[in-house]
Amino acid sequence: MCWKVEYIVLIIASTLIDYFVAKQMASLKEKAKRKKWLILSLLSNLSILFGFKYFNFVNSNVQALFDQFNIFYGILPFELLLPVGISFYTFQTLGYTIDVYNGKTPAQKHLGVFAVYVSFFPQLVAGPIERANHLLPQFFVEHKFSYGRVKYGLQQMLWGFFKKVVIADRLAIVVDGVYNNLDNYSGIVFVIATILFAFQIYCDFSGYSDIAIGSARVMGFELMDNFKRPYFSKSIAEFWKRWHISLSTWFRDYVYIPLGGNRVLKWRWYYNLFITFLVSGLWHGANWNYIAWGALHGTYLIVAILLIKPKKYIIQITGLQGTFIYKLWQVLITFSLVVFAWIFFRVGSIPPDPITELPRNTISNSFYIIKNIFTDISSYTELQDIGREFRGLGIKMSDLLLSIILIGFMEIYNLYERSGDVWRKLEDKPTWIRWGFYYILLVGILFLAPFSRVNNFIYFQF
Amino acid sequence: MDKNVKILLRKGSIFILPILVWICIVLIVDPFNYFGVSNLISEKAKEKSAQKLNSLLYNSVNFKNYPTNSVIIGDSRIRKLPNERIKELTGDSYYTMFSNAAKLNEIIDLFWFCTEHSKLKNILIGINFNLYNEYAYANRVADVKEMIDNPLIYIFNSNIAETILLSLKNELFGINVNEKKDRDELWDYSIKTIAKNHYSKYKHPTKILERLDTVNNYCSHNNINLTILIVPHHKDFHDRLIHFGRIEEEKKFKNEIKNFGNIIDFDYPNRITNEKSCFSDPLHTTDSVGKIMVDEIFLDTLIIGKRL
Repeated sequence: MCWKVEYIVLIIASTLIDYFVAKQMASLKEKAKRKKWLILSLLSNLSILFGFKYFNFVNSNVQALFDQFNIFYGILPFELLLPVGISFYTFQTLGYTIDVYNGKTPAQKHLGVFAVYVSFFPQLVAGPIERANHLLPQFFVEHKFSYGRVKYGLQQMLWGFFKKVVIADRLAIVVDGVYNNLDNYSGIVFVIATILFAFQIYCDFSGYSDIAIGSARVMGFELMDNFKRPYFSKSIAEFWKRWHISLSTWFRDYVYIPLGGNRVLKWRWYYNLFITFLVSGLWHGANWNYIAWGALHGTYLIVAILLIKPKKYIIQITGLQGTFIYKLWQVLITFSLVVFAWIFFRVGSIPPDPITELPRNTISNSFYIIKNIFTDISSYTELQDIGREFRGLGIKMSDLLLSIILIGFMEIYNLYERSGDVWRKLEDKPTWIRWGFYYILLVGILFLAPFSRVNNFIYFQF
Repeated sequence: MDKNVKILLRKGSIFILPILVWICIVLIVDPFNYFGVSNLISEKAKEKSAQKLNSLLYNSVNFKNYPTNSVIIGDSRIRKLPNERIKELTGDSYYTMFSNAAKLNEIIDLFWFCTEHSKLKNILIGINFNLYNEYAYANRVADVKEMIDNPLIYIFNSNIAETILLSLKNELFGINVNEKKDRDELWDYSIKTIAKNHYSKYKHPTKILERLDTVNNYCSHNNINLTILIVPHHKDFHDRLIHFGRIEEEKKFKNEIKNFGNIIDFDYPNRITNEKSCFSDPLHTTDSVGKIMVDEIFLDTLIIGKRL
């Protein structure tokens, strides 16, 4: 991920191509003719994305394949850096052209407005990936100053900053320390680091989304929700309705449904699910680990469908249906499966070895973790033994405990949010409670954030 | 201006008022003399609190403000070497750049920190085997450097806030921060827990060895007298090293650092290591042992200490 002034050409190119393609499609009545323009848009946008994000990955794999057969392969990798936000704005403009093609949204006549839609800064670099029929009309509405709206936006930003700089950046110290030094660890340390990563990525990304949605709201714009307490999901299918909603619905609408969705033969349905998640994995990064992560989620969903009948039978005979124990069990199982898949995702972003510069984000490292994850569980007889394992990262047990407390605080907020927006509910409370809560967050941001170890947002790399 | 905008600005100003008050408190108390604009709190109260809660930052800021050409770098064990005695013997003013529970990578970071602020002439570094471990790692010097470069990190930091509260407590109520722990209890804790922390998990610190080599080369090229001191541990502590099967690694450690400057070893079975009264706890010698070490090192009359 990087920012280079020259790369502005890419977003301008995407904007111009899709603006003119959409205009052309709007002027044509025959779908077949419109299709040609749609293909042009798809090819040009995806070519840019391929060139900058996927070429080197494909090239290195072809190279490896040729090497297997001792065949000379002379195509050198591109010396390009991944432009910031390219996956997000490419998908946003593609969604627009597909909607225009399907007649779901009219083509935007004003180039300036369309350019603002593509480059709307709060969500440009990491979403939410907005739909044209939701965001574009908002550019034509006059946005008058509203105290309530600005306050609401600022409140959401405050919560987003808290999640990012206090929780996610604090957890990153442990997670990065373990994942960047895999050889030094095993067993329970991998388990702890991966669970913490689950919360790190949630706080990092949902924190960013809150800041984006909040800052847009300050200016009078409403962006779509991107997260809805995903770790309380009772199944993987539910998880994907609550996690990165703007992307999962994008894939549902523009990949899964066009493939036939579930209104096809069973094997084809499984295929559609699997392919959608495989592509979703690839969207995240040009690396086998992201593909494996997507494939794993696809597999989870297929297995869940296959297990519907036996599961029903077991619930019937045990009488567990609707009980708290059963719901808790479902949440825990779903969370465990999601955490397990995060291993691949996190390994995918391990930087190269600082000395040898060899890549470490290999699929074999994911399997190394999986292989060693339960190796030394029995050797931990007391809490101090676990704390000792983290000594090599310069982390004290008290830091770990604080991280766990912060996660607990965030999840209590999430539970409270189940019955309605926290900030709306706070409006009815006395001033000292409202301001007390603001100050808890502010003091947390100012005093608990590890400012000397600030990390980029994880999703900026995609 | 719109009435609602005025309300927002008014409430926003009230909201940030406590933050401004906090900034003023930091400027006034300033336990680490970071800004050096106020003398309202006595130096003694500041030093007591700051050394207790963040010796690394206190010493780093102090060294930056008053650099010397001769420095002693290490963890709390190196603190026992009396600077006044060294000055008597050599005429050089040494600054002890110690940090509680410093790790070897941090000690090396501190060396480079010192070179940034002073033209060094003499350097004495305390390194023991328990630091010579890939797992003995912390990264506080980088944090301190960030803090020195960025006043906002200093102002808004939980550790600084804690130190400010302690400084105020010391100044206003004269509370003694040196709570003495029971010696036997501390001894037992060191043997059981601290020794296990140090020796139960070990990996040869290859990268740190390379960094030490760079330090050694830098000192040679810049005519800096480099001395590495291995301070004594009580034999009870050394027995734990044996218990965890680290004897070979310890030998390797002494063999490897042999190549770096002038190495003086007090940590082998001798009169000091066998005598409990020479230690306040199994890792820390008493002041009188510190004086013995200084005399032997700086008068170049090694009796207990031996050159590797």
